[in-house]
Amino acid sequence: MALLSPEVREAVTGILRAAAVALAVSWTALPIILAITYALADPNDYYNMEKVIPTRLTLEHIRSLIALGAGRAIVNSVIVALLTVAFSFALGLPAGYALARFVFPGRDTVKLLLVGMRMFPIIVIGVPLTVLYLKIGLNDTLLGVALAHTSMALPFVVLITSSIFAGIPKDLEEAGLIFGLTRAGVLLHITMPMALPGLAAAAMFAFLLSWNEVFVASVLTFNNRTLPAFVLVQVAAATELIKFAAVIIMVAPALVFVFAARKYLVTMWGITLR
Amino acid sequence: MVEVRLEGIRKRFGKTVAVDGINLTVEDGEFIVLLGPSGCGKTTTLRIIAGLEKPDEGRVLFGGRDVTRLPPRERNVSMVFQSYAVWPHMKVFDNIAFPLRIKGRPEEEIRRRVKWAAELLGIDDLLDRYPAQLSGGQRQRVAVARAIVVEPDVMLMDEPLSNLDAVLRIRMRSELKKLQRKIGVTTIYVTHDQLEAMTMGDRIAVMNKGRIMQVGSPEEVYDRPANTFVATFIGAPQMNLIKAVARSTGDGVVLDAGDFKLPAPQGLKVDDGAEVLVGVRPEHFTLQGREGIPAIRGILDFVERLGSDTILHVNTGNHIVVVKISGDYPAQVGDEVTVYPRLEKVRVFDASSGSLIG
Repeated sequence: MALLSPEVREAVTGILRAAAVALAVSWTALPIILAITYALADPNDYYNMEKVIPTRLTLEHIRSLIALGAGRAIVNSVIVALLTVAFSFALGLPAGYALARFVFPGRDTVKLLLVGMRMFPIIVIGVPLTVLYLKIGLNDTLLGVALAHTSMALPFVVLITSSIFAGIPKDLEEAGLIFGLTRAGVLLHITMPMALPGLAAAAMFAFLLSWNEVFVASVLTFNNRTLPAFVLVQVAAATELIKFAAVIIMVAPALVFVFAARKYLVTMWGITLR
Repeated sequence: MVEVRLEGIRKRFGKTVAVDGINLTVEDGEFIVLLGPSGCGKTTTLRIIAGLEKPDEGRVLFGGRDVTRLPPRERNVSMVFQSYAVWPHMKVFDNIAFPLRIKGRPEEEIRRRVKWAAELLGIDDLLDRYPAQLSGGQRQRVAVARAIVVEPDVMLMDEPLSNLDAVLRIRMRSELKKLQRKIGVTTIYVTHDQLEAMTMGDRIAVMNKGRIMQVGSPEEVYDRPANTFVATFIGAPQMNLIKAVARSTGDGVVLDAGDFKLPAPQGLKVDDGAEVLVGVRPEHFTLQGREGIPAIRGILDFVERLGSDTILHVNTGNHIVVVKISGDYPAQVGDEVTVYPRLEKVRVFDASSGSLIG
């Protein structure tokens, strides 16, 4: 290397860096691109050994997926995910605020327990939950699935929102109290507007958690399948092309979320709010 | 504008006593400074006056009205925070207008009053900006404008200048003081900077360990510090405190420091042989001797040349006496020097309690 001129060395590093970036990008992007391509591929092209990239495209697989009941499953998934967001925020937001703002006995224990809840394998909870749901008549209902998802999302929502609130200087709230606001007024006029971008990211996180969850949804429902449960049960036996189509439907919301929220994802982990 | 009175205020945080029985009356329109080292309870006292903390004991009275249990919004106070606490999600105009909006004032009045406050602080061309687009000094002016726009009964300031650079800090001192005089609002100002306290306060309350050590005008706390804490906290370099023994002689009491002797101030009542601390400020020495003034001789230990002044550390054998001489002084470390204290400025403190006794 010592023999190379600075210009050559610079060129070599440039090429190496570009290669590393290309590798990283293809690692994540290639499977998605392949899935999308094959989901729209004409079966003749797909099964043609001489064709790697299909040229004739069709919506046939997505249509047959919908014929199997995917439309209903998507609607179910959206309802369950929205309920999960609503429940986990109704409970998690005040908890997160309290953890961020007030010192009380056992505060650190509460935080630790919240993280600890994630150590429970969901399979261990799934079966007793089904039994319980059968007893109280919540089995095979969207509300039941949403409640189960809320219990999974809640620790995250509490921890994320508490880090968002902790990032808002206390002085700004106290200035609100001094200049005429009640505690509730401070929350409404000062804290919430500043926390909003971060809270939106946390909401999308809870939404996706519910959207992707397959085990509990499969165990707790029979007729009212959410999308992942539907895909697991219905598509397992279907053709590869229909599996690819299912991939698209599953991944699309996540992609939209990442593109819309990547700016806010930084604040979600409580870095800074300025 | 009101008189503020604190009666027996006490506040504990867990096991630490932050404020330990404070009584203080701030007169209507007065500018009072709470001065003390960090952790002395001055900020807690201010927050109790603001209503951000509730005292464990004692009462807070605004013009005779007991406000101890009232939330901040019902006290008609305003506050300038050390961090400025200007809301980042609102433009400058909305920040200043906010207290008026909450009070439901008509839009026309809001515009007029915001304009008045902004012009007073020279920020009327910044009203359309967000705080993130302002410098620290500008943000601070926004915080002050927001504090005066409501015409508060009491204005509270918590170390408002400590985040500014040195030049701006000195300029803002006189500006804030002039502003306070112009609008005549009762002001309570917290700082740990004794120069700020001396230049701005009508009176200074010097605090230590949750108690008020002395309340008085800047001249009083400088000239007759109530104890050794106040004596050394006010003034830079610090007042010399020289260990000495009081001895009764035929012509009155003499303070014997071993290396030198000083006549005690008139009317000092002290037992023969009592241990005392003799307090002399560095600026209260001269180089010219006069009849009857005892000389203090020693070897120059260290010299600080500040341009306008020269600070000499004189080793007299058992003591280091710090002396401030105006202008340059052509002496070197190791030289022998003789200085003369201005006897009318000499103060005497009890060695064990630290209280001023003469």
